Amino acid sequence: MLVLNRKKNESIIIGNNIEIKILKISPNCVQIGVDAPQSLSIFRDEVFKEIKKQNLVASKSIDNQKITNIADMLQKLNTNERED
Amino acid sequence: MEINTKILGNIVFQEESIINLKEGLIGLDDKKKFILIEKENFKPFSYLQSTENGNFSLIVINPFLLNPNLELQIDEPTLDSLNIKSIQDMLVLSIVVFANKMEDISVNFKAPIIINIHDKKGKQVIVDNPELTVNMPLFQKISITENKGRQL
Repeated sequence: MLVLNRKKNESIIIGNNIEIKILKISPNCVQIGVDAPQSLSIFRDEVFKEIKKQNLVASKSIDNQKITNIADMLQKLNTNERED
Repeated sequence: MEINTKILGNIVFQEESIINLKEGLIGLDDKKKFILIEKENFKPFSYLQSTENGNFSLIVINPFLLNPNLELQIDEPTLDSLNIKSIQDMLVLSIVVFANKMEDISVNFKAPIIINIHDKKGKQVIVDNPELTVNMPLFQKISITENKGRQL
């Protein structure tokens, strides 16, 4: 990993069009500004990892029988509501 | 076109029906192309089957069916990039995680897949709503809608 020291209001540039700027420094937290093309997704690391994990878990959780059972239950629930 | 899938066997589909997530799923950027498979006995769920990998599929549900009052906050640039101008242009799918216990079945409200229904381009987005998480219980949502007398 490339390691650089930056002071408040200093930036780094990645490629031609991504700027990452240190906006605020406090003892436990730094505030970072990112200027990048809108086509580029920017995530907080923990959020990215959480969603990735959830996508994988979801794909492995599939069981046709279970799904049909739950779907059947929901359809019945819906029918009952209509009848009420 | 056709693909042999692990869950649903051999599936024949039209090229026009392919949903194209340009960036892939979040964290899984090799999962870009899908078809949506709806069957009577799966409703209200659908299968989102990868057309690149027969072993990869997801179960999805329209989150508005679970909570009709749901308001998803999606940022403008994302909607613009998909050319979505109104809610009528958009299909929203939330990913479901199945589990052995019913109360453990969860829905990812935080990161739905949004799709432009006209050109089938889509993206998995992260909504800004702080109260929505990646694993909210499916059945809690249903009981909320039930209490309000809403249809599923």
